[in-house]
Amino acid sequence: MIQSLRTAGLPSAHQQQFLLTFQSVSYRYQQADQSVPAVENLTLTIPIGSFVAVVGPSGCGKSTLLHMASGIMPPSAGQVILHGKPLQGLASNVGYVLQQDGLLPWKTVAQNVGLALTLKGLKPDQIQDEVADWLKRTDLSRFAQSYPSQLSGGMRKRAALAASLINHPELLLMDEPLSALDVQTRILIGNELLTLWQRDRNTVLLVTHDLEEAIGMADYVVVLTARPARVRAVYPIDLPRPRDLSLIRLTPEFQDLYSAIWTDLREEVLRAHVHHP
Amino acid sequence: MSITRNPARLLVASLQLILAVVGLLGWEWAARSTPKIQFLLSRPTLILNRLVIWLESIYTYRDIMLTLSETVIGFVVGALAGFALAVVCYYSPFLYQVIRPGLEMLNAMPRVVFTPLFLLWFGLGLTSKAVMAASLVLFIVFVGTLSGLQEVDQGLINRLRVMGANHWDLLRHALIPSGLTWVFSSLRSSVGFALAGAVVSEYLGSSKGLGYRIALAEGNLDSTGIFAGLMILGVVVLGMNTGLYKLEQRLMPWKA
Repeated sequence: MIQSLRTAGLPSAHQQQFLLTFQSVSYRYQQADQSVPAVENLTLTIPIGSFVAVVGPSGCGKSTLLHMASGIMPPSAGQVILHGKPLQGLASNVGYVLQQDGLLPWKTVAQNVGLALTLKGLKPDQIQDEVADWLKRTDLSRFAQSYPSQLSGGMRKRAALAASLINHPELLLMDEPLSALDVQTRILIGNELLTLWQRDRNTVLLVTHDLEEAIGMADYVVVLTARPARVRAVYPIDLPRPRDLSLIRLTPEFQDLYSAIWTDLREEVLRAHVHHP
Repeated sequence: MSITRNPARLLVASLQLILAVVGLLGWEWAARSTPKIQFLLSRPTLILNRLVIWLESIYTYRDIMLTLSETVIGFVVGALAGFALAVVCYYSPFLYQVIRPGLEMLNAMPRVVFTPLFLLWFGLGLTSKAVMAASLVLFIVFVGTLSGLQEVDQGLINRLRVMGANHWDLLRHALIPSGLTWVFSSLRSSVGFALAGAVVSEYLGSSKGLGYRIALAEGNLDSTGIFAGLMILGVVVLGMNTGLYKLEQRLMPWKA
């Protein structure tokens, strides 16, 4: 029987270290003269080194959560706590992977991958070594001098992952990173993502509408409610690692988790649909 | 791409050639058979003749170089000023709001009317012509660049910011390269304006340059001289456009 943790934090009473905490955060935006709540009184803690996936109905404010975590959009109320300190301004040492690959079209693949290091002010030969290493790891060495427009969607995504991970960010924020890819490429790139992540074990906050992707990759799946977003349930995913996304969905454990979480998610999806048809 | 590999291109080129030959022959024939037409429109062989005579004279090259320098200086100064102004307005929407009506008013005014003023302020030499050219280019590049900067994907900017990019980094790695695409499309349409600005200024107040040459021909009701001057202008524009295209390919290799 699968139980969700209906508490605010993920792993209950253990003295675990948290990298990121949303403490009763709300986010409201102005629409005409009205203040519309996108996120309301949401509390969520994310342990160091864990891979957390957030699912919820479309338009429920999932991306807003990432924007708050990175400091791009400060919450209207409540606090974001990063490394035990309230976040002020922009977060540092955070990687961001977007639905669109987020590569700069005017830079070569090598320049894109090394951009975070360039911004840090590292020496060119240092950057070159790191970049060569990451290009090899993402199987893009042959395309170092190509421009993003010359690559396939999957290759661009791999380059974007390398560009985000090269900096060893403590927190990796991913906003629907695989949803622009076709279904088969999605599984392949998802596997590569897991392999890359496995090595450094950065803390990951992944937002997705694809529940299979969420269960397949994450340690915890957080289900958000329809707007305004709150945490409806948190499910620990105890599937063994390393995982193969192309096979894991066939296991009975996966299927059980899927149907349990889907029951929760389905209700919210229907609720969102009734309110915003 | 070679011509033989693309029959459509070969067809287009041969049709263009046929059209040009037929047009020129028709012109030549009409002018030869009717003196009035020859007086008004001149004649291709006469124009060619004049061009040959001109190109034997050192003064022609001096005139071409002068008009070209005025155009290029005006073009570069106007483009840089327009670009800088766009960057400033991008960072300060407040300033943009304040100066916007003034800019729009200036841009809408027929610049030809300013020519006597520029001549008065900057003299009959090169400066007044370059200023004229620059004043035309500035607004076109300003509008193009500003919309280019505003078009930059916010997601990209956010990603760079959390990677630790400061304002200068954003400008260097995202805003300028992204704006460049728009700058070049506005530059391409400004080449003609820059040249027109320089030539019109010469036309109205100068003793050198292609514009002066055309004005002189007009004074003598010499349609052959006017057309010969226009031909040279056409070649200059073609040359500038080609140079711009080469520069674009160099500066934006990702577009290739």
